[in-house]
Amino acid sequence: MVKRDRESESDSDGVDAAVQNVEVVKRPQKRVQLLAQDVQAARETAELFKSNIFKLQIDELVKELRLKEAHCKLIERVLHRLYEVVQQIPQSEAFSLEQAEKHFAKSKNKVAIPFPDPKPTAINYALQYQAPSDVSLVGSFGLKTGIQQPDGMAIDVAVTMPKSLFQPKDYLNYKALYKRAFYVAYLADQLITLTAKHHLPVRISYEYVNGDRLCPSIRIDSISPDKKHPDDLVFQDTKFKIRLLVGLEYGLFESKKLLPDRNCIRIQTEDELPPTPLYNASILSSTTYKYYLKYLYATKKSTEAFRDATALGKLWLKQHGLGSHFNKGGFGHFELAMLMSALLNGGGESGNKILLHGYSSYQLFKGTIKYLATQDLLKDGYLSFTSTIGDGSSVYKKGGFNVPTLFDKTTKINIFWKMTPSSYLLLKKQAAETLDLLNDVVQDRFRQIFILKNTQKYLHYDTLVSVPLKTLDQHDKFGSIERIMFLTYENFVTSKIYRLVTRALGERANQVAVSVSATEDRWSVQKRHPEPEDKSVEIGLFLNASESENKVTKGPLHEDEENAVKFRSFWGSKAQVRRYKDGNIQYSCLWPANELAVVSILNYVFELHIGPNVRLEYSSSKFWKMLPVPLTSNAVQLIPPNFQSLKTSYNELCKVLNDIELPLAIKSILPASPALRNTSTILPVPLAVGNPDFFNESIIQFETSTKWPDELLALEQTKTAFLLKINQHLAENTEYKSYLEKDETSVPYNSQIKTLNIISPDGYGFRFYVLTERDEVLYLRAIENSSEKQKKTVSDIYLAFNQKYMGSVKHHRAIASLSTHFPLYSATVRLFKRWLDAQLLLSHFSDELVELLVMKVFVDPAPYSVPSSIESGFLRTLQFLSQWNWKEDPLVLDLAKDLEKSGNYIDLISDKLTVQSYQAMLGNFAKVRKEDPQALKTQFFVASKEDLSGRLWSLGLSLPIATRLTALSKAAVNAVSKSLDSRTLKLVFTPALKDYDFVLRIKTPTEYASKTGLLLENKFKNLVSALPAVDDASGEQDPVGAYCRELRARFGNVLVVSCGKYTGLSQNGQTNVVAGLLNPVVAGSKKKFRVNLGYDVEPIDDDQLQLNRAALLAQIVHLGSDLVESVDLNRV
Amino acid sequence: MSSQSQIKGYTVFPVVFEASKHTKKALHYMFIKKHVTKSVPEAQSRSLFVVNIPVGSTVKDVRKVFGAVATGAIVESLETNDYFDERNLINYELDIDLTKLTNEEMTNTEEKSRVPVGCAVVTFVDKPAMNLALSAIRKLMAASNPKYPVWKPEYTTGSKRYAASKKLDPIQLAQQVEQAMVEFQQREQELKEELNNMQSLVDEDGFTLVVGSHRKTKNGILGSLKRAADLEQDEKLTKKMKKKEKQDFYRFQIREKKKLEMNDLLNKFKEDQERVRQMKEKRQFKPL
Repeated sequence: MVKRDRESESDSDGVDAAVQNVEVVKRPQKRVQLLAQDVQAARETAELFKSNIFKLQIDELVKELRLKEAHCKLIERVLHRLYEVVQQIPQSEAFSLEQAEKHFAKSKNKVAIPFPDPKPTAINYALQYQAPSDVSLVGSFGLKTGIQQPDGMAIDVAVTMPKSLFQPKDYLNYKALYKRAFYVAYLADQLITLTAKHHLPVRISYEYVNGDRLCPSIRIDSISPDKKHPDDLVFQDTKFKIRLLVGLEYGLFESKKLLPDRNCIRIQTEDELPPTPLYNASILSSTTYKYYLKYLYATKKSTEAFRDATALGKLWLKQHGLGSHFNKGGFGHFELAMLMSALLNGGGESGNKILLHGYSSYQLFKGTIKYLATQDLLKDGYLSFTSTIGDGSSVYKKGGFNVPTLFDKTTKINIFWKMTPSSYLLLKKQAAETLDLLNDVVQDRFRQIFILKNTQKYLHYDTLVSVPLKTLDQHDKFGSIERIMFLTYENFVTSKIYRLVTRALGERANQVAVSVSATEDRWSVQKRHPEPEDKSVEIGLFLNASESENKVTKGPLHEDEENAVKFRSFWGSKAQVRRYKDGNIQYSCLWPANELAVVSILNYVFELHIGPNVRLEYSSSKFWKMLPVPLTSNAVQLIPPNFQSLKTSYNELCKVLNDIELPLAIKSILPASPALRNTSTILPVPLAVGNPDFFNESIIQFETSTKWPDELLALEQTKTAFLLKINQHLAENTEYKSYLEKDETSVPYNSQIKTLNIISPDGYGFRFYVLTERDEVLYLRAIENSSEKQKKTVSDIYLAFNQKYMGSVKHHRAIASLSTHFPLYSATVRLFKRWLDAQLLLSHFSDELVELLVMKVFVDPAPYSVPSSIESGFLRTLQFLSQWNWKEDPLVLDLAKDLEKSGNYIDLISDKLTVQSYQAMLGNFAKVRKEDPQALKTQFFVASKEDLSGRLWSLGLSLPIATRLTALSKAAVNAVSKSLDSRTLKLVFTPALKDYDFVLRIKTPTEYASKTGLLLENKFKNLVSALPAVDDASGEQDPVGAYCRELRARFGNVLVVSCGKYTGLSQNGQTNVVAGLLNPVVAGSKKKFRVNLGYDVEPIDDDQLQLNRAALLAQIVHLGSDLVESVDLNRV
Repeated sequence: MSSQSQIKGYTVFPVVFEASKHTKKALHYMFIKKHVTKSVPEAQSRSLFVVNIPVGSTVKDVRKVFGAVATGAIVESLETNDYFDERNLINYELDIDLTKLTNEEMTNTEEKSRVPVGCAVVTFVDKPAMNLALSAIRKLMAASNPKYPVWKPEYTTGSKRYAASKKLDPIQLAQQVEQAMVEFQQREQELKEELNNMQSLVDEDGFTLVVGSHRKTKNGILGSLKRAADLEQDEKLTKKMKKKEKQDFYRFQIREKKKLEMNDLLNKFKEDQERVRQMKEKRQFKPL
């Protein structure tokens, strides 16, 4: 049973045939045969894989990943020819250092010897080339586990230097490495000459193996010659490249001497010599290229699914930007395969097997991921195994070394030697996130696990800080001891910065990753090492959202002398003694309010501990600066206090309303306003009546009664009567100012809706709608009573009603609780709205839809983690939108998801997305798309437990707007992926006005600019006068919105009208644009004369009409009159 | 621009939108014809039917323009139907009345005549005035160098228009609400009486209608009757389903059940295969 899990092509054929035979005997019908076979497959996959679909998807993926047969054939010919070439290389003399250098200086290829640092000056042994004792294929190509990769796959060929070239003590003091460097240079020199002769047109260069500065290799890339000879072997199209790794014989040195805790570079020093683990591991692993190939090959033979599992693993690593390279974390395909092999031989604390040989590829992959995610190989313990073929064992041992460890007792190598604690923790985190996805039983997570890529740094981390390497200036601290421990200056600096940043940020950061900006490892054979470049150190931070913006860093208690000294010496003059409310006197550091705390802290500690010239570049602060600044305060806070003051005022008003005596009692007052759930772009400021969102909406629900009229419009009249009563009461008994307004747009065809607008004594605005239990009944009855033709429109009326009165309240409740759960959600959604507005899109979307789209990256962050900074949230939202194929994929949000982790039992049982509701939503989507496959009516399908229909908030969106959002987010992601500086960011926030047919530049009268509650760019807070009190705010609001709405209402069937929602956000608070895009169908067509065309036309012949553009524009401009400053015609 | 003077029986009536600071002078075309309906035959009609009337037109605007064409053509009233659909949810092809749809009995009996969207009916003081206007326009179109009248709308524009107060006068509003409520209650009262009459009525089968006190309208009662009937049927159905019967007593039942399960599994498997095939077609297995 267990053995028969994979594709049934070869191995399970026999079994299936047997099953068939049995069936044939029983019931000799063809249909049944097929059935038996399929049933078996269906049953097995459900057990061995997560589900049928997952297994089928994996099968397809693995097929997709296979290397192309033709490419492999070609490359095999290339390898054969290369082998012949290597065999023909003549032996060299035994050179002294000077002779060797002279030899290459004389030769025509001018090859340099890639000596590692420090370059030898005098050596007392010979450098020589002798024919290699072995040339063989190693790595994933040798193992036949290679996968297709967009940038081509590297084929590793190990060339083993013969034993005769070495002395037993050569492992000390770089001796073996110098000998190898010469060997590599000689090989390269000869290859250049010989490959040309043997019709193998290639370019030869040096490359460090996985960034290991001690280990140069020869990189061979195909080139197409100008004049191609018929015998020339060109393999450029395959994108393969070949690496010649020059290795040493297995067991050449006594491996005990090269244990990680031994010192093998002797220098003159008074102190005890420190161990040299990197050096030791580098030498040892040079001896094991072929050895480990054999080991992995044996595993592959014994475990059928191993090959597919490693292919999956390799893809997973690739999609997460992980690799064997030092800069990619030092955990790549090889390390994963070794780990998997070790786990197949044990891995438990008592040596019990974690993986079994009969596992399916999915089980092997998941098992390995689970092990990575849950077992600590850093501090708690390590995994120790033996790589003896046929007699392997492995056991998890307690007591870690504080370096990630997978120790091979046979070869004495720590397989994870290239990893750092930081890269290990990062791997662990990603594995844990993937494990969560693999365990998800509700949604299909295949795409997030294998298809989506997470390799962009600016998307991966919450914040990226980059420091130019040269401003660090630590060369004087990089002495000889440091050199042998860290090997390179870069390793030394990154490790120092890692320690500094982790200490300084403490709880604020969950994880810190420090690396040197990626560099090309390949360099010309004429140079000893690559040209130094302008590199920078990149500090990637995963922040702890609830701690990161704490403005105080607390230290030890005043009495705790010992720790106080440490604290003071680390924080310098910032460390102060403060008394807290709880009576504690504690050492603390205070950070300024108008800057991000993380930024302040890093700037301070770098200046204190690294040097005054160090220059740190942050991505975060640029994004914070894009957020609108209110008149009241410019402090940087995750959730500004403005929201709280508004809520307090709201609650007071609710109390007042509840106490009013009315013929029917108020059952509930429920908020439905962005500012009351921390998501409004512009922060609420008292008396800022110019803000289009000044009035915060709320629904008053009255108690059930049979007295409510049984007819919709009469019901509205009754509601108005209640509002009038409240209005009167407020005017007579309170300080509140209030008045009624008409609302003709919220529910089309219902012209009788009135709202009550209230301005509180402290200057906040609220708007109330009335809901009774009869409303919904009546709207539903209207649908029931409508004719077939009317049904769609009447259903839309119901949806519009549902949006305004019920959906908005449910949405508010869900978002309000999540916005406190995710501290960064508020800022992110505000910035995203700001971006939409800058791109003239915000007025086309409901606040609710925008909030749900942003919520996606918080509740369903895969392949990233939950954003804990404004830029990660913002950029990932853009990234998601740029990739969302809304024609084919619904967006289903689990709005209760993270509450589960809060451990609240009630939330856990009541709210989580269930398979049933998930399937129901998918079903709804299928239905919507079946009716509307081209997404002409419904574009975005956004469903959650609050709205199974998925259409509630995208109602009224149009295809051009949806398409434009996708296009703009693609453009923005593209721009940001190239560089993330202030200029790019500004560009991202600049609208592309040329895309519109016409653009009206708007200038509003000065008086509106001062009333938006925003601090204008060139003004100072202390120069702003207080806002005046008002009775009637409706006449004070920004007129552009109303203008734009009228244009939409009157000409919406001919053009798409876009405008900035917030004029106050422009530079001087007065300018805006109204941009129009003609509907190409209407604009380009001629219509037969018809009475009710509904738009402005001119006659062109006997019975045809076309759009009258000039008259249309004249009417648009006339309506705007003094608001319009200029008109740009792009295409009208 | 075209010099077309007639189209499908309509007379073309161009008016001038004067040049502004930002736009050039433009011609706007209306199409007019005598307004004839079932109730008002041609002989009695003193209205013109106008297609493509400029947005926001008022009776004053119309009066001015026809006055400019022919001094005697005095306009009495104007009925228009502007296109005004902010959220793109209104369907002008259909007549949707929420009152009628929610409670048919409450609908006002008088049928409103509906002007098609973007059109208007201009009523003149008398028939000669209308004829004068029509012939003047025809003459204008025939002229070699016609001077079309200027259309200058009356409505306020720009910041004044869009920053106007929307505050409703509470006293007026209260009166209006009261008026509407009184009318509604009257109608309700009438219906109640009608219902009471029905109560005393004995139909041909000898039944009378039973009227409870909790719902006030006929529809309410008849509607609930209907729904109750539906419910009854449903209940019967559920009872049938619930009939005590062991599902796994006979071997054939178990066999059937197994078969069903198997088929289910298989169908799901087939569906999944199909889905994966579709995904493959869409190239969704290419790692991005």
